[in-house]
This record gives sequence, C-alpha cells and structure tokens, in this order.
Amino acid sequence: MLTRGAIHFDTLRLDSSVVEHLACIQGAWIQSPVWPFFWLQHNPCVSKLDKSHWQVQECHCQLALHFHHCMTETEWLQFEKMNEYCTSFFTMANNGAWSLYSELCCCLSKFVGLPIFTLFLSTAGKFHLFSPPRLSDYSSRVVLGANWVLPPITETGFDQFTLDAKEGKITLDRVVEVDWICSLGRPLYVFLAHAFW
Amino acid sequence: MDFAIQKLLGGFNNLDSPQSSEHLDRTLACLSVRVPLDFNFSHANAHRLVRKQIERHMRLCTVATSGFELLLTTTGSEPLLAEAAVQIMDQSKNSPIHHLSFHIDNNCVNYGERGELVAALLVMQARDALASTSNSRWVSVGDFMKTLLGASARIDSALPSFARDGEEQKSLANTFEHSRIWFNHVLKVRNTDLINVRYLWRFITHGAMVLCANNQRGVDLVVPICYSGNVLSRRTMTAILIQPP
Repeated sequence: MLTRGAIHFDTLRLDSSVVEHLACIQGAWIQSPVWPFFWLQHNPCVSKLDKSHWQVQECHCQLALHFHHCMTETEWLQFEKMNEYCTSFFTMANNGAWSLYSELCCCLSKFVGLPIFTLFLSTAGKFHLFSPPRLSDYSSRVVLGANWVLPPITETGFDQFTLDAKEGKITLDRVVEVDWICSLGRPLYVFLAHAFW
Repeated sequence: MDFAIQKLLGGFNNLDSPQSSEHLDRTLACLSVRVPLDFNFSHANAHRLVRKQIERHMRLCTVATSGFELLLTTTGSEPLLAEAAVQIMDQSKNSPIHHLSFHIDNNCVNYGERGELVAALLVMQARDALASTSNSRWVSVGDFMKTLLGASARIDSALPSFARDGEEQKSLANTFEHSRIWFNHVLKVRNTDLINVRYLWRFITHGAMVLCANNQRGVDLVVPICYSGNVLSRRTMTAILIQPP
C-alpha cells in the first residue's frame, strides 16, 4: 500500500524546481495535519508546451493541485478550477500538437497501477467541454476506442460518504461523533474533517 | 465546524448586528437547516429571499424554470450544518424562536397551519438548552421532558395510562431511566409509511427528529428515542409522538 511519503514527484516530469518544492511540501505534510497545496501556473500565451513555463506560485493561482489522503490509504491528485484551463486545453488539443492537456495525461499515466486517483473539479456550466473530444486525443488507444475516457460526473447525491450503519451494531455514542456527522449530507465536509482530526 | 459555519453564513462567522440586512438572511439560513421552512411565494420579496438562500446559504434548489417563474427549494438532512447553526445561535444568546420572530413581519415564511413549526422549535429549544450544559450531544429523556414541560412535568410521579401487567406503578422517570435522545434538526418526510419502528433508528443516525407528512393520522412530530442500551435497532427504539392542539 502506498504511503504518503512514497510519491516520487519526478515521475510527474515537472521542472526540477517544481519537484524540489513538492518534495519540500510533502515532507512538511507528514509533520502537519494541514493539507499542503501549491500552485502551478502556466502562461497561456505559450502555444507549445515548455516545462520552463511551469512555475510555482504562492498566489495568483490558476490551477491548484492538492494532495489528499483518505481513510483507505489511497492517494489522489485533485485539480481544481479546471474550467479556467478547459478552454486552453481544448484549443491546443484541437491543433493536433503536443499540448498541455496531452502532457498532463502523460504525466498522470505514470500512476497507472498505483492506488492514486485523479480528480478534475470545475464549477463551469459547460462541463461537456471539460476534456477534448475523443478524436482529438493524443493517444491512438483513446481515439480507436481501446481506452475509455470517463464522462464527467455532473451531479452527486447526499450521503455519498456515509459510514456504514448496520442495524443492531451501530451505537448511539458512535452516531453523535463529529466524523460520523461530517459524513452525512453533501460530500463537502468529510475530507476536511478527516484532515484535521 | 468553522468551515460549516462559513458555508452556512455565506463566508461569515457570525450573524452580524440585528440592524443589518444580512442578519435576516443569516438567521433564516440557520433556521432553515434545523427546521424545514417553506416560503410563501405570493409575497413580493420571497423570490429574492429564496434565491439568496440558494446562492449563499446552502439551500437546495430542486426545480427551477427559466426566469425562475417556478422555483422549488428545500433543505436536506445535514447534521453538521445543523450543528453549525446551533453554535451560531448559541453565540448570539438568542433562541431559534426569537430569531424566527424577526421574520414574521416580512410574511415570506410559511409558518404552517397547525403550529407544527412552533412545536418543533419548542422541542428543539428544550434539546439545545440541555445540550449546551452537557458534554455529549445526546440528552436523557427524563431531563428532556423536564426542560420541555417545566415544573408541571412531574415525571417522577406520572404513571402510565396504559401499561403491561406488573408495570402499572412504574413512573415515567423510571420507565425512561436509561433512554436517550439525539437530534439537532427536523426532517420533513412526505411518505406516511416512514413513520414506522423499522426506520426510527435510521433517523437517529442522522440526528433528526421527524415532521410527519401532511395529513398523517394522529401525529405531527416524532422524536426517536433509544430506549435502552447503546445499540440502535428496531428492538431498542421507541418515540415521543407530538400533535399540537
């Protein structure tokens, strides 16, 4: 099972300064219950990907990359505000050239086989433009249908992360605990709660 | 909890001063996650009020047509938000009923026809008063009855109207000596079949008391009780049934 310290950021093929920064943050994360976060900013004026344009920014973020740690010892990468990158990804991928999107997919493919999931979050209304169409993908396996691209999850119900409650086993003392309460309702609080306790 | 409070209050940590326009919206948000408030859309301000609740205060929109001519909203069962609302109102030093009284003049809130809403708030107030002085979220049935009914309760001497053989002289206090209650919000059910002992333990896992469906026979409010022990199941559950006059 993968542990927190086992992620090697050089597999992300990022700039060395970024990798160095990530390693530093990762080390701090082990000591601190607070989630680490860092910002990767790309200059949208650059049409061709150049790793030197990835810079660590403490603020003025466009793309936030969070590392989470959940109860099942599974890691996931969470990209927020993807709607801001959606357009540029889409445009560049349509050109048929090696793009930011294809580079990102290539980086993430390094994690295949590891208990790591990747989440792309967006509040954009045009969620169907979230990723380029299948025929524009850089991978022929995706284009030809050998690999399947997951459709976006556009709605989730309540109590998605509800903890297991079996009649005759669950206790009153358990259901008044804060982590139990956080698991009910919108899937909004459970990870924050877990991170701080 | 701070995160939940901020989500509920639209990014703020308190109710603000009672004179501000934001105060009414925030108190309404706190009340909404605890009791299922309906809005009277015949009032001119209701649309603006409800849209703001959806936009900033975690109210759920279930149906909306273009131009918002039809707007159906509700609140879900979210005990964390309800717990945040408890904390906010506790800091304000005022009861939920006090906060609700500020909304009477704007006529946007539908108070119900038979006093169910006020009854639910009174029950809630009794639970909150007990929980604020306790280290646990659950409260004992005996203390709850004393707080709800005041000195007139006399639960130590109250005997059952109907009892099984050998339990005729068992007082209310003795009968519910080991019984406990846990809820921090009201869940409105629309299916009369849900008022059944099979589901009572599930309501407790959600920290909810139940406001029954309209026209439910004989009862309007159900407070689930873990009768004895700590384990939740249909065999260990009972309930307080309330019907406002």
